[in-house]
Amino acid sequence: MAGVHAPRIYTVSDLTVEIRALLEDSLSGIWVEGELSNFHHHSSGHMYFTLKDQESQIKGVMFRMQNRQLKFRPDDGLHVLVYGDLGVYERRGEYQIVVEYMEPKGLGALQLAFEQLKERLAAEGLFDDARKRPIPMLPRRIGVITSPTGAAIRDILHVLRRRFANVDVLIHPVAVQGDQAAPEIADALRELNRRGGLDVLILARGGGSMEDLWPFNEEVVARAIANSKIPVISAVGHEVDYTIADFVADLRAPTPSAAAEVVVSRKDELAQRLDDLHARMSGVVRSRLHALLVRLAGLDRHLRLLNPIERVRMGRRRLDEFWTHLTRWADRRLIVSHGELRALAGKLDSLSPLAIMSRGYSICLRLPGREIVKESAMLVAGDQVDIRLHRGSVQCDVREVTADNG
Amino acid sequence: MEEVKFEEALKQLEAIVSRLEVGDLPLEQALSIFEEGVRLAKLCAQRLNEAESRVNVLVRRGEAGVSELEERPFEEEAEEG
Repeated sequence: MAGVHAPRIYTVSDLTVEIRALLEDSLSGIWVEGELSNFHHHSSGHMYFTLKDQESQIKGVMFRMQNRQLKFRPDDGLHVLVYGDLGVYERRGEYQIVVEYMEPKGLGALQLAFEQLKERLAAEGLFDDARKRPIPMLPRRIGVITSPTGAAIRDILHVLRRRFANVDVLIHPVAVQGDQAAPEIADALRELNRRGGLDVLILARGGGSMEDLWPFNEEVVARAIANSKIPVISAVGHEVDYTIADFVADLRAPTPSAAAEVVVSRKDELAQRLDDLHARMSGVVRSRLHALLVRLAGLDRHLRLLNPIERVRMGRRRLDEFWTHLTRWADRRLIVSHGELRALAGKLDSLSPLAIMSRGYSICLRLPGREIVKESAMLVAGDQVDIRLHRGSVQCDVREVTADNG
Repeated sequence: MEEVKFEEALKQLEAIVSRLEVGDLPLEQALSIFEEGVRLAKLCAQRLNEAESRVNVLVRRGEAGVSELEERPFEEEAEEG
């Protein structure tokens, strides 16, 4: 074994430098797949962890500058694909992978970030129904946070105008995609809260890819919505798109148009409800008053029948009628009697003895009693009689009385 | 004078209508709450129609740093955004 050459003896440092050179030269810009463990996000902002599979493990680090770009939160047990360089930490004789980029395996990074934030905020209670503020029935002034040139504001204004809604809208223009969007949206939410005078806020954006809609999945936006004192309606993307903003908002409208409909249809609905209430109220009072009038009329009639004066009046009326009948009957009766009387008078006239006497008969009256003498036996000689003739009378003395035999 | 909220007025009006519909109130009282109901209905109708129709947009004015947001009438752009 002992050769001509003395063996090269490395110092530890030399060796380490060599190892470093070897490793860092040949193992730079590599992709590694493994499971995260011992993950620690240090207060310095750097992330320390171990990547492992069934047999082996390797330490890893992701510095603050790089990990700031991460949408999701790395955590123990997460299967990840990382890109970076191998690095040797000479002081400790350790090697580790210095990660520049990391993405979750399986799920897309954004999808994972979405799920993680959703879970975290839900655990915090940010989505709880109890936190939801009621959307005012009749908002006077509506704040819309959206792009001033996007489809969302066009759709919203279109719906509002089509419905002839008297609405007062204040638009806070923001970027709705890209890195600036999330902070701008959060600022806008705070600004509109600060300005006051707004009754409801609509946070709107037209449809797009998950990346396009991403600002609405950012934590700053979620927090700003949660902290808003004014109720917030989220209206992001199409009906199928759900964002974190939708979960935190007080009401999720499936589209920007739908958000406008919510505001306007409430108004129509309210006008109708109000008319209905008014009609019901008037109906009740009217029918009640009508029933009272009917009852009053009945009572009035009843009372009049019971009134003694009215009874006297009615008696008098009956009396009057009776009297009329009576006098009419009497008059008729009188006319009849008058005729009868005249006929009787004629008859009487024909029966008068005076009429007979004109034909030569006379009446003999015994004096002094003036009894009518109808037979001679009534007289004796010496009696005085008065004989009444048709015209005048004669006083006679009776000389002889002759009995009539026959 | 504190303004009655629309929601509050509507709720009161609904209560009055139900109260009247039960029909057990003495007439005097019924008429007096009816009057109150008419007042509330008027108030609500007024509120329904009073909103101004305008669309404003916040525009940043002044230099960066000391800029302020100012309301201006919003003019829709014709082309697709």
